[in-house]
Amino acid sequence: MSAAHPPERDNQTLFRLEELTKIFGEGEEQVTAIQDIDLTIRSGEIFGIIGLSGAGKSTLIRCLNLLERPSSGKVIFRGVDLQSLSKKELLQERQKIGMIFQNFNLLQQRTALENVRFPLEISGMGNYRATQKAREMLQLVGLPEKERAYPTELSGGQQQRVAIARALASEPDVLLCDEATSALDPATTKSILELLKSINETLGVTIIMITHEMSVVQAICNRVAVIDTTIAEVGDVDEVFLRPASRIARELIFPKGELLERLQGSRYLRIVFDGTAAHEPIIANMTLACQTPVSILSADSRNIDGIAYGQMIIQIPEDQQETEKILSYLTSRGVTVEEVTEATAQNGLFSEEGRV
Amino acid sequence: MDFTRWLLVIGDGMTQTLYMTLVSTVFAYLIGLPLGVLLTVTGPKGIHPMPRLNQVLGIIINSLRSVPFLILLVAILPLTRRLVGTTIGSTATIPPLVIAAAPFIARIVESSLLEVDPGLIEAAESMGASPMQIITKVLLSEARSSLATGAVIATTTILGYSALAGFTGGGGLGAIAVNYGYHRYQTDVMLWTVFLLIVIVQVIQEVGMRLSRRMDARSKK
Ligand SMILES: Nc1ncnc2c1ncn2[C@@H]1O[C@H](COP(=O)(O)OP(=O)(O)O)[C@@H](O)[C@H]1O
Ligand SMILES: [Mg+2]
Repeated sequence: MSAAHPPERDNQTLFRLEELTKIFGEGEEQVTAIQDIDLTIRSGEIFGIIGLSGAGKSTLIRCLNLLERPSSGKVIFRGVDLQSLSKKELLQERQKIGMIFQNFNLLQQRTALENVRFPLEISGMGNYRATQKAREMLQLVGLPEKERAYPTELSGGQQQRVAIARALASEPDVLLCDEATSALDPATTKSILELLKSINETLGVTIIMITHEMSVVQAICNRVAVIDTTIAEVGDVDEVFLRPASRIARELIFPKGELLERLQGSRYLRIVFDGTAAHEPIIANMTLACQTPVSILSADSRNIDGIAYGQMIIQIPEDQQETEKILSYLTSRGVTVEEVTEATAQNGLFSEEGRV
Repeated sequence: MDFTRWLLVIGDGMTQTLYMTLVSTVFAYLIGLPLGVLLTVTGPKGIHPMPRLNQVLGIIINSLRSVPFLILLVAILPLTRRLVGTTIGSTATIPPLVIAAAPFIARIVESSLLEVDPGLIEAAESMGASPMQIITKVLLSEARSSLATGAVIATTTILGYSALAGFTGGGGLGAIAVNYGYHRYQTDVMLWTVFLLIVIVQVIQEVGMRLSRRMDARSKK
């Protein structure tokens, strides 16, 4: 560490990334995977990193524990510039940074318990204590009865639970999750997200979630960074979802092709459920209250802990009066609504002008 | 040739063949296994890429592998004499067998280790595992069943080579086939040795593959 840049020492900041850039290959075949990423991740938060495929998400998260060496820029973890560490010190530091993966990456020749013991064996913990600790971790993720099962005998969700237990065994400060739910079905995804959330709350482990699904970010993240090689925007999840400022964020919230195909001169509303309108069949009630039938074009919502998150696109009547009625009903129910037109969709989807 | 004498000759040949094969396999693995690990680890996708060393190793291994065994056997006669004090008999066959088999084993080991899912290595690295821990606890451990299959192939190949050595004064079943079948036209003796060689290969194959399967946790239900 140079004297000119004293490390940040406040205990709020867990990770600080400074102008992080990673370029793969040379000459003609150069690919810039991430560029000039500046980001601060705070202790205790659940931070989402979202982007389309190839946006550089995996590269970015792999830079956090230096599985990938950045081409330039800094990774500062708990005030320590990771690139200034010796090999040995880096291996020590990695024990404080847990990681889980899309494909679970469990050792196939080890039982669940032996998998969870793995990081403890690596750190040189004694046999007996390691086994005890591994049992505790399996208990924590709700799989105490599976300690002798091999990965092939476990479902995807169970395998990810073992992977989470393994990543947490060395009591890390942070858990890096690279598309941790992308290989799972919706119900299993939900249960894994709930587990991660409770780990965050009970153990205080910071979680960094990489995903290409907005619903995952909405379900558990406090803040989110939208990336597309560079950072497109960073903010509180509700903010970004309700008022996406960047084109890429809008595209992630609603894929362009899907929408354009369906917009044919009619008028549409985008209804956003941000968790405030709970326990209410809102569309059914609206139809009753306004006496207007609407057709739903697309719905992408999830129920997390009884609270609805997501969005819905509905077709609204040509009649202006009826439209007003629908709008005022929905706003009175605490959902955010905006009108979508073909023009606004074409022009980077939901632009500022398109908002009701 | 009366039956008892015949039995003695064949029994002796079998013992010598097994002796040559097993001792050579053990020594060839002592050299080939570390070489195979080194090839994998220093390879372009390895945990510690060292392109120069990897290239040099590759060239040496490929060169040794392209020398026909009979030629190698003759070419290293001086070395053999230096190592075991003689150039005939079963023990004299061991050095050339080891030198011929080690590079072959290195490649077999390399291919087994390359089968290990890179994701597992990445996970271990993320937990702070050192290269040595990755080699022992991930690569060798995860590939154990495939390594055992490789060992079966290596052993049976060495057995085949050991029979060839019968032509240049080596011992074992190969020598019996040459001495009785080739030089004295006793076809029945030659057929018997061939039959016994087939039986030995079958036994090694069966036992080895069974062990390999039992080592693989993925096949446990
Ligand atoms: N090891 C590598 N070698 C060359 N190019 C790579 C490598 N890893 C990633 N890339 C490239 O970097 C870009 C970002 O990849 P990645 O970080 O995996 O994106 P994401 O995880 O968002 O899908 C892609 O264009 C990819 O092809
Ligand atoms: Mg990825």
